[in-house]
Amino acid sequence: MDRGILQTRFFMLLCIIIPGCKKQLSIHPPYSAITTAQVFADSADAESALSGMYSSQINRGSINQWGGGGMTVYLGLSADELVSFSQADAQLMQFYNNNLQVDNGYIFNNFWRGIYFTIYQANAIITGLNTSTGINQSAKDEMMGEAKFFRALSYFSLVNLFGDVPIITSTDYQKNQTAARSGKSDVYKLIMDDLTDAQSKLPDDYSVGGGEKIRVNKWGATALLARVYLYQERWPEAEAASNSIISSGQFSLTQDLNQVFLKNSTEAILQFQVNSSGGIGTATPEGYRFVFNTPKPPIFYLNPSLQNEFDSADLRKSAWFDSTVYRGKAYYFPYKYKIGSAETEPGGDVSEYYMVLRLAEQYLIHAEAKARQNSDLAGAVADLNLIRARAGLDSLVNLSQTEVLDAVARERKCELFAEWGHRWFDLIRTGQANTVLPALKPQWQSMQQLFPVPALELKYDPNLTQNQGYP
Amino acid sequence: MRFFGNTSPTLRFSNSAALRLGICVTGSPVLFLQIVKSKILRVVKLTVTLMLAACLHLSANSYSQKITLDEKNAPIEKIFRAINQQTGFQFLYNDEALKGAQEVTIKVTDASLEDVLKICFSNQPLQYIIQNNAIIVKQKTETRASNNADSGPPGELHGRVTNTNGEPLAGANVVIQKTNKGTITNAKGEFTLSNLKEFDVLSISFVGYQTETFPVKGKTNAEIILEVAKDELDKVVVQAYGTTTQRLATGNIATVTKEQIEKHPVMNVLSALEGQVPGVVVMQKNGYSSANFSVEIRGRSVLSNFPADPLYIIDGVPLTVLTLNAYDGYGNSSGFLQNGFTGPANGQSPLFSLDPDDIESLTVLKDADATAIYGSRGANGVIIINTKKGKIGKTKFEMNFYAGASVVTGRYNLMNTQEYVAMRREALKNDGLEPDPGTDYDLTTWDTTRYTDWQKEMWGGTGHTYDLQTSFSGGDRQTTFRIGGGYHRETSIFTHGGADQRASVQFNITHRSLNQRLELSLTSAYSYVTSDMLEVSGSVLLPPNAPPVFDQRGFLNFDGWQPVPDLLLSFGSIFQPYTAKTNFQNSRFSLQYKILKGLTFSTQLGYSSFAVSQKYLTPIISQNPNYSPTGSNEFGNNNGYNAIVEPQLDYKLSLGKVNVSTLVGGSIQAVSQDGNVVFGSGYVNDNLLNSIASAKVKNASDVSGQYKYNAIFARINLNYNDAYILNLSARRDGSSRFGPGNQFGNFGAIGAAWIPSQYNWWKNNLAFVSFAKLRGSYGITGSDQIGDYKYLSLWGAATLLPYQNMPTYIPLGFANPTLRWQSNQKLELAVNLGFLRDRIVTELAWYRNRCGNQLITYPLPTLTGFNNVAQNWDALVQNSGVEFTLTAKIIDKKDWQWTTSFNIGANKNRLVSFPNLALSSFAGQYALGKSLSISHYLHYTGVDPQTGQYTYLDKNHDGVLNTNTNDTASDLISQDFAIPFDGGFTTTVTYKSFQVSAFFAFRKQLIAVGLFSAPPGTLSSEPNQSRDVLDRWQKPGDHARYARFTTLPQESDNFFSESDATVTDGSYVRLRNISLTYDVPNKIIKKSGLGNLRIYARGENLFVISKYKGLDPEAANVGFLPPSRIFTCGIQFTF
Repeated sequence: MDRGILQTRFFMLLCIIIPGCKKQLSIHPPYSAITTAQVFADSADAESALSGMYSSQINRGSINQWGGGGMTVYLGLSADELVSFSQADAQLMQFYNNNLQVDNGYIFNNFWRGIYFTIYQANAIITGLNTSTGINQSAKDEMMGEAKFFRALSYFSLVNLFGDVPIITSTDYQKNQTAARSGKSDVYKLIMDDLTDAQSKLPDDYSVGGGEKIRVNKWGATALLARVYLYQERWPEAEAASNSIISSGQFSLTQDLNQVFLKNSTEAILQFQVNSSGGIGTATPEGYRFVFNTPKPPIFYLNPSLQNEFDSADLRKSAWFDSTVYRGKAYYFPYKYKIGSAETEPGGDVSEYYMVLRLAEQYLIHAEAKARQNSDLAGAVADLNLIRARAGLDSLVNLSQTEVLDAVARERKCELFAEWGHRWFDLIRTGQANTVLPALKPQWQSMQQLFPVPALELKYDPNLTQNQGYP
Repeated sequence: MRFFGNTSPTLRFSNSAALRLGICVTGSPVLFLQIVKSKILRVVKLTVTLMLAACLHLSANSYSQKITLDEKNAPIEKIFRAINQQTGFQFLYNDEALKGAQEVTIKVTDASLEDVLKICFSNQPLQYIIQNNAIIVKQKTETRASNNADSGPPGELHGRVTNTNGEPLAGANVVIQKTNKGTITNAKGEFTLSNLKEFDVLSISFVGYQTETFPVKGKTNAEIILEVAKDELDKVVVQAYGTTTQRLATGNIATVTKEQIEKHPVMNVLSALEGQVPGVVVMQKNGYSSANFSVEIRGRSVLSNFPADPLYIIDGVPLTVLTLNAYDGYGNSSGFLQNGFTGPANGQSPLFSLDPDDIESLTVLKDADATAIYGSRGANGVIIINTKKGKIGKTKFEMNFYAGASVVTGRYNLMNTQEYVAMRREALKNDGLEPDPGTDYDLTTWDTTRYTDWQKEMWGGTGHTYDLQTSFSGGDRQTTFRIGGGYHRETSIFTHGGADQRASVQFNITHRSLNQRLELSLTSAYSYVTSDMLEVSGSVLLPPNAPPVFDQRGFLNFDGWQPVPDLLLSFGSIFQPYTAKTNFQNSRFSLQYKILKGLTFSTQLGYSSFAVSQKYLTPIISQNPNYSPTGSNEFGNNNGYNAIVEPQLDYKLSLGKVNVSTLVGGSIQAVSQDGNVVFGSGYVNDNLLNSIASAKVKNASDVSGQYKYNAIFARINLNYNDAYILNLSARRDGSSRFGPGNQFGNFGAIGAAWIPSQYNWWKNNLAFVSFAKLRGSYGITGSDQIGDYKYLSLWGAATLLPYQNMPTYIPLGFANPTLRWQSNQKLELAVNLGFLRDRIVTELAWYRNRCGNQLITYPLPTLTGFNNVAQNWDALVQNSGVEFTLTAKIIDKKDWQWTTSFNIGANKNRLVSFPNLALSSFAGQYALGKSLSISHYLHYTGVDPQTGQYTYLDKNHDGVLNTNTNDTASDLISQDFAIPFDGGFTTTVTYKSFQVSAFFAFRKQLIAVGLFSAPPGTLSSEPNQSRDVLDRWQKPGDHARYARFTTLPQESDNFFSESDATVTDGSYVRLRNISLTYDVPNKIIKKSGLGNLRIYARGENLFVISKYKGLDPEAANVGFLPPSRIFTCGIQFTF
């Protein structure tokens, strides 16, 4: 080969290679990810962001994530509902003994961090929808409503667990990393705004969930709003909100107690769908945790003080309790969900969904709101009697306001036990915690009614402060 | 073909049946060999066998044979034959060279070879060189040229420079000493100089060869043969994109040779690196052979937890492994296993796939000057690994086999059953409790007289190691090759454990065109590794009276372990096999073309790839049958490739005493990796567990990533008379890890050296300092080690189960589009000295590396949504230190040799600046002026003689121990775990055929000792204790080392493991390796047909000297597996 030609070619090669650098650096995203712009480019992808939100509640990480059984388990221990069989897990025992420490990993991962992650998801979806141009307005509204419901549910949990908490409504970490705590009333204002907005944007049927009660609709937002009003002692609004559900004609109390927690039961307002190809198969997170039909000690069993609360004729005792005998001793456990770790069938047909909101609570809200207003005690008693009748109990008659309120409290305890921490919140909300719990928990301290803000969080956010009484 | 002048040359061996050795050592081209004399066939047979061998390490083989000669006026060739017969030394010469030889008269009895040669060559126009077992004879330089009437005009000289193999040396410097003018040789090693004066003297030099001088004296043709440099300073060492010597290097380059590596019977070359190079701290993450290493060069420079591995370059191909998913803490990458399924070893070292026996040299580049041309990829230092290549010479076959056994180095002094039971009872008594049948099952349900030595039960086994290596190599002037294969298998000391195996093949072929201008080379290594592992099962801290692991039927004894069979689950792993199968290949094609004299174009195409498939089974048999378990499995795959193209132009120019060497080039690299895991469950029997198709439920996840990188670079090296050297390099790097607008960065370095020992004034006055060099370098390199896609806002699809049959997207983390290059400033000053004609060579280097604009994963409060974000942070971390190496040939006699080398590297790590540290996420974790390796502890103040509880310093006496690092009232104190210095010491003594060498590694360090998994007396899953705790408080007034036994630990008990009571001096000196070698003398093996035979024994990790009282400072947590001791024996031969 002629030397000159060869030289020229080599130089040409070098000249071609070097300037193409910038172009050469372009890379494709990971196969299993898409960019934020792609997510909100069309409604199919945006819908997947919403299904990600639901799936995160019950399928993400530990089966004790706050929205996937964590509220029930940990708050059940903190209150007078549950006892842990093994005492080996010191951090778990801190809930039962009400001596929570600032470095408790469950508080950090399953509550604080888990809930704020849901808030981030909601904020990201709200931001994404607001800037999206490829999604039609009705789809946008519906998704926006769902995102706001989740944000409200998250803040409702936060404000009741921790008291004042930072309000985060954007995805901008530079701004949010120095967020300070906002007063409870501001947090509640956000919750109510979100829920009211969600009510107006969400459909009043289950079309989005394909007929299944697995996507939140207007009634879901209303049900949570009723609870929010109740907690804020805004009785008329609570009454009105719960009444709108009761009178909507869409729901009815499931008369067979064993069918209340089946999927799409008549009483369900919102359930999270169980995907049986997950690690816990056809079981709900709570069923998997609680139900032990094997000669094995239960992980958690019912606190005897709760068992004693039930009337002997109460059908809920037989329908919603079960027991396992271990070393000669019977341990009772919650049996609202029937599919436990022994019954679960990976990949099998799902019969139960994880209940988030149901009609019975609305009756109890309705009753309590009326009783508190002292306007329609008979109406309140009538609500209670519906619940009692289903449980095989006699109807109540002629009660004073205090008696009605006591009856409501007792009925809440028995009807809503081991569900989403209702009992713990009720104890605090009604000021009962300091009278009921010290008898059961020798280490009880009043300041434990609010959980400590995780120490790590205080370390990384200079403006965050700890709850009173914690180091 | 031309060789040695115009006539057709013959290179002749004097020969004989006694011919023993050595041709391959000098590597003479097979084509030119002519075996003369009778009995040719027989000789050929024997010779071939013997010659094949020669590369074995018999250079030490003695000159001890005595020679007796009585000749008068004999032709010199006859003398050569006689010497050859008596000593086995063989003469290599060119017929032409002997033309002017004088006849020899000699009479000696039992004289040494050297004396005889001295006499023979005293009046000859010849010179000789003894190289291994051959004697090269050539014309004295003065006579090497010949007048030729046909050659060019007067004063013009044509010359050719070759090495002793006859290979032309292209680019050699030819300088007229008086005028300092000169030239360099072309592809064929030829040069032409004109206008020469009669008394001009030429100086011919080439990197890695001894410089020759040559008087012109009116000659017109010359053949110059350069010999390979043998001393430490002039040996060729690898540098970035080229070679240099320790004498001329301006940067910090340290080499670990194959001789050092082969002494360690280990599977991963990185474990042979510990203590060999100052400033390089090597640590393996855990005891599994395949586990990854963290290699830190000159201290920790980043606040980030992201792995900061050096750049590994194997045969020119960077071994870039992305961090897609899994890493655990600072510096610990999970290597090849990026799919999130990291197995029992928590990852797999990429270098686990590389056969250490294929390695010719491992070179560590540390300072800016040495690494700058690798740019950002070299920010954490560079380790260049070059594999063995073929050499010109007869085809030789080499084989090496060793086998060995490993055992645990020691055992913990744990309580026996009697002591354990007594401890538990005492604890309950202290708490005012009686044993509760429900919870104190070890005292009430289990047999309190039963005793199991769990250490013996778990790691009382003997590990076995086998290694076999074979290779063929050889070649001629145009083509050289090496092909080799190896197999290694080792098992661990666990009673229940797996085995690691590696099979590898490697080949290299290099071809040069007839005119030597074009050179093509292909190098490739392929290996297949299987790693069978079990999770470490059980714990040595189980109660010593625990029931047996297996029941009478041989199944796991779940029923016997009631009421806590869950404790036994850890033994379930005995039946839960994990296997990883790795295919790895690394190949490079290179092309080099010498365009003009001094100008070379080359390009390298490199490609490496790996594929790891993993399998982990959880059969029903490994689980408690009472829970009606089902089987499950996990299958993983990891794939990756790495492709690189590097075109380069290299131009060398001689301006007399100034030699200029320039390099410009480009580098384009693409890396792609992906991995997936499929988890199958619901198997109702164990038979189909190996098939994912039979799983009732399957779940899958995957990861993938792509990384691209490109650069243009230039380097210019100016060398004035080998006394002043200046090296400048600059480059522009682009990385796909940054967003648009931030992708490119400019970096550069300057290095300079002054070698005053070159001058006569030095030589005359300071002769004992035979070499002196002052060098310095400064440069800025970047780094993009923060992970991929961090600038891009992403949502993960399919990371969660579908909901309502729809795919699920969740946000993956914060994106930071403003990410840009981190900057590393490196400054180094060093002095290199050689004493006593370079028998002692030292290097003392001081460096200061400053890393700013740090790329970190900045911790965020999780209320933002995530717990971190990738950021550039305006913090400055400094590592400064001193490194010293010394190599000395203390005795260098014929029969006796004693060499020793020592190195030490001291590093000081310091956080120099950090704006608003107190307000940042790092407040409490780091402190200005302190090292990055500080940890915070309560200060332990002993056991309270009254209460028997541990006490700690309460700084403000408020009665509360404040463990919040953020708080100014914190009671914590900091301890620095940075390694202040470490190093190694090797000594090798050779006596005739015997060689003994020992290698010590040492390190100064603090360690945190994990004492108990639970306070003594408490029943946990690992309740047994060291016998040390018997020194405990029992009654008021006792002064004891440990607190009272208790089953109800208080805060003071829990704080103990977080206090500085656990911090102790973990400094050590470890005899890492001892090696005994015996080279069987040739006269013994002569008849067997072997060329070479070596027998050796090696011991690894023989003992450790440490103030630390426990088993081993590198396994400081009670109950953790101590390192194992390995003994091997081996045999190596060639023919």
